[in-house]
Amino acid sequence: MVAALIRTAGRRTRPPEDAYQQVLSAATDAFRAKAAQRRDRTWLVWAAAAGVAALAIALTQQWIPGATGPVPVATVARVIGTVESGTDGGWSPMTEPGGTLATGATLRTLAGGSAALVLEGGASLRLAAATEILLDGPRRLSLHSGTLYLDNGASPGKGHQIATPAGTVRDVGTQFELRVADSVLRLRVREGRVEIDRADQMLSGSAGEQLEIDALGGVTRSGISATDTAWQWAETIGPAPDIDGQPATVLLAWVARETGRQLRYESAAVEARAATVILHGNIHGLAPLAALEVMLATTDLEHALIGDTMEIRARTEQ
Amino acid sequence: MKKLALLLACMTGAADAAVYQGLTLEEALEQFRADGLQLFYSSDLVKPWMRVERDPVATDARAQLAEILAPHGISISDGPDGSLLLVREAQRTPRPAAPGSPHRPAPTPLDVIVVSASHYLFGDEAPMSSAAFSADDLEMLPEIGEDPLRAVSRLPGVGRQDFSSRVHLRGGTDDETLVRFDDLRLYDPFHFKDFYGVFSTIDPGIISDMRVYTGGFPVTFGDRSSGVIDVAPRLPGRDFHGQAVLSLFTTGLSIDGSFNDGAGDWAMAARRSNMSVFFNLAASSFGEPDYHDLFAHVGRRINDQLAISANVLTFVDQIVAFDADQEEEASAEYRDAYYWLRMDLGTPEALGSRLLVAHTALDSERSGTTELPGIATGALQDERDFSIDSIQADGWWRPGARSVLQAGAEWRQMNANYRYTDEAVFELLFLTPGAPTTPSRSRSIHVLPSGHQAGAYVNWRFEPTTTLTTDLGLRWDRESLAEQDGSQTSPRAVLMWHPAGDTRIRMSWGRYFQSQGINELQVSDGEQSFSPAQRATHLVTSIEHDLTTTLRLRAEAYRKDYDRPLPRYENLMNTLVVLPELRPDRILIAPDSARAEGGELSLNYDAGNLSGWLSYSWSRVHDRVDGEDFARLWDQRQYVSGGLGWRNAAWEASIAATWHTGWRTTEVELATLEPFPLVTVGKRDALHLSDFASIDLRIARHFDLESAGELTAFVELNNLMKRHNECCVEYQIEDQEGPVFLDVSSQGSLPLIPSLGFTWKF
Repeated sequence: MVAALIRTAGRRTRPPEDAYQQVLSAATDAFRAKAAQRRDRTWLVWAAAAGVAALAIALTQQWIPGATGPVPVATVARVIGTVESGTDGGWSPMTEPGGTLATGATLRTLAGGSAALVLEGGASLRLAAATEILLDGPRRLSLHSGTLYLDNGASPGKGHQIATPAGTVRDVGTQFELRVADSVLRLRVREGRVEIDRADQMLSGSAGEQLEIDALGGVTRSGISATDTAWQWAETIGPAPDIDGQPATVLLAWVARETGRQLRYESAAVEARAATVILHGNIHGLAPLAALEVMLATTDLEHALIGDTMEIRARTEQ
Repeated sequence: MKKLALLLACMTGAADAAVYQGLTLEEALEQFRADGLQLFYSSDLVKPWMRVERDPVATDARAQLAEILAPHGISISDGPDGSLLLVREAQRTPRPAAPGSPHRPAPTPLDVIVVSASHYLFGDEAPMSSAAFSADDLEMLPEIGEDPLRAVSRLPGVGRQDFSSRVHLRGGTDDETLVRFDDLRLYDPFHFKDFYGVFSTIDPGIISDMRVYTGGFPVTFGDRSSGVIDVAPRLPGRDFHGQAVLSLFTTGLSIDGSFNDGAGDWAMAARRSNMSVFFNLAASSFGEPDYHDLFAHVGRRINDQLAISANVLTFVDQIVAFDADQEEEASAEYRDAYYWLRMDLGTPEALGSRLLVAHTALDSERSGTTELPGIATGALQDERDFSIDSIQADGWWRPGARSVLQAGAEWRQMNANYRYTDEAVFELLFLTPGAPTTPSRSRSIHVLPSGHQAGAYVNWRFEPTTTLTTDLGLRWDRESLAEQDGSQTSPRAVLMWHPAGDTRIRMSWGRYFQSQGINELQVSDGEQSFSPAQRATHLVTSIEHDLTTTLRLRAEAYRKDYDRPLPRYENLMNTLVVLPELRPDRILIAPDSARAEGGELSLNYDAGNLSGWLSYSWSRVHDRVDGEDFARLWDQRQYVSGGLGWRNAAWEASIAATWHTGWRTTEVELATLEPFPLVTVGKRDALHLSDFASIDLRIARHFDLESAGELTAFVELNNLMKRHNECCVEYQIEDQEGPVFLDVSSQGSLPLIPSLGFTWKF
């Protein structure tokens, strides 16, 4: 009915052109002035809100000691055997990976157990059997007893601080193992450099070095190869990457790092080929060399372990 | 209630039976993974263009997977915690550089899908398209002298005289078949070339697989009009392997291995005939045939993009032959040598090529005399030397998953030296066009032809949809031996359509030129110049349907039209003579055109331990001369072939039966004795001899020698029923009693031929 009415009324009579332009110009100026005034008020409101928010965040964070609440600092990547997390006055078993651990969390592995955590920032922390730690905060933890392995290859720019009864350990972008047992602190450095800050001295260990510091502060230094079998426990518990649909180079880089080997290709053509071969499968749960064996069997590539080098070649025979 | 339960069970079964056919292999594998199977595989083996050819029949997931993967050369290996690894099937060291295809010599991406109609594969690779027999079936076939080329005649549309290994593919002459070994062209690769070509020179111990095109072959093959037998050599293994054969026909040894941690490989095979021993033992009057073969190969992979090999293949034949009445005698020696360097570059998955540089030397000497009372007397001396230097390059590029471009070129420089002398006196003449017209003849020919031959091709294989594949190619050839312009262009096209997953329809059209080869000048028949190339136009339609997963039906119809067929010489009556050139029934046939046409139906069964085939073909081939059609001598109107093979771990047995319409022959009659004996000739090849039938049997027993390998003892019986099959007719003037007449009698083909032998694989 409205449509019929509009049709019946017909077209509206157009105003004179000069009168129309004059009215339009005046209306536009008035609108612009009002909009500018509204923008100024809006900016002030937002600035005040941001200040209040910043103050609130600051108050709830470590800027104000004593006000810090639990912050997620690690994720459980893998669990083998019995691993327990601390609860109020007790321990509860942890069976499934995927859980998040916050500051103040304690974790222990029993005999035969081991665990792998991904720390905030991407570093990989692995706990051997009979180990107990406390996650003090981001990039800070305490090793009460047992053995841990830290691979900070993912974010080498920032180190981690590990408090032990024998001193505080700081890494500088590295792979290392730390053991606290019988009042002895043992440090094995696989890659990079690690510093130990004791009350009265500063020690440093470099790649290929092993340091033992006894209860009286005596330091014994010896050597350890990056491919030594002593690292195997850490390789075994280390979480594997998701290589499904990924080029073979992803797998090769991971295996080389996990086993402490240099990755070398037989030729540039083989390297180029490895970058184009796409792998399919799930290697979670496989040790690095086992995963390598399995995956390369499905390709036209093969590997050879020569000293501390892992060489990738074109397969000569199936 | 029971009916309802049964219905539910059937429905459950139907739901469980996943449909994989038509999926890409990767899709099927992901489906297996989604169903809980833990698989590991890579794009090195599983390519985007690989598809599931047929649904598996197995119920177990692993067995299903094995069925799906087998056609692609992928097998299953056990991984950790019950997982399965997809690994390459082959066990041999790759010659080609390409890591993507180590199990195939001379890799080309076209191996992925065979589009061409009329294509058969014998060998250890599962057939992609259609195959009459598997590799093991080939080994099992009861063929005289363990000759692999004789097995080709089991295919529909293939004719062959019992005595010879040369084949007529769909009505073509026996020199219209291109035989290649390791992609190198072989020239008339038969032992005792002028004595029917009794055996091929291909030692079964050096073969990996054999592809046979009976028509509609791709542009990569040129200069032959009817078909291709493409033989791939067996590749050496990484470890030392060997095979020794001792049978009534041959003694042979082949060994191979690798060096430099598998980067290099080598192979050597030698074989000699035992026929002279066999003939002596049998107190045969047919002569003393003897031959030796030698094959040597050494290869080195320079890097994963380049491999080089050097190869030698030589044959030496010596024969002294007589006819049954000792009225004809001939001796001959043949020495064929092929030397070639081969380079394989790149990969079959993307961009690759191969290059062959070869030198071929073919020498022969033949001499003989004939004393046929009332027919002819004479003698001949025949010496031929050929030298052929060639270079051949083939390349391919796969711009996408559904497209492959191929291009190639070849060039040959050819030199020959023909020295021929004969003197013949005919006591009888045949009144037919092309036959000798004078009672005596004296020839002395010495010609030194030389020239070159060049060829080039491009081919585009394209899959516009998943059910349609096209092959479009153009070939250009030029040769300078004939006086006329020798440039030819040959377009060829193939269309393959999958209307359903278990059905394939193919249509093929193309032109095929064939020049007269440097070694094909018929100087013994007076030829001194080369003829211009003949042209054949093939039209082939084929439908293939998988009746079940083990039973495949194939029907094919073809027509082959010849324009300016090459002139040829034939003996009108008896084709199995020691010195055919000295016979008065030797005639020149120079048709204006020719046509071969026919239909073929074949059924193949393969259920692992038990396999079989049954085929029927109807065909017709005739030459047109001055407007009149003449059937060709080998016109085989109806043909039936069937066979069964069975094996278990210790035993294997196979039986093959063949029946076909009798060979063609010509009616002759003595017209007059005065002033000179003359024979009138009816319409050439208008009559039939009696039908041919033969049953052949092979039984073998394997003995496991543990670390010493495996010993196989075998017995073969050809023409088990001792049937008298007529091959041809012999004639002589009979004047002993009563009036003189021309006595024409049929000659028998091969009698019962037994053979036994041992093969030791170590």
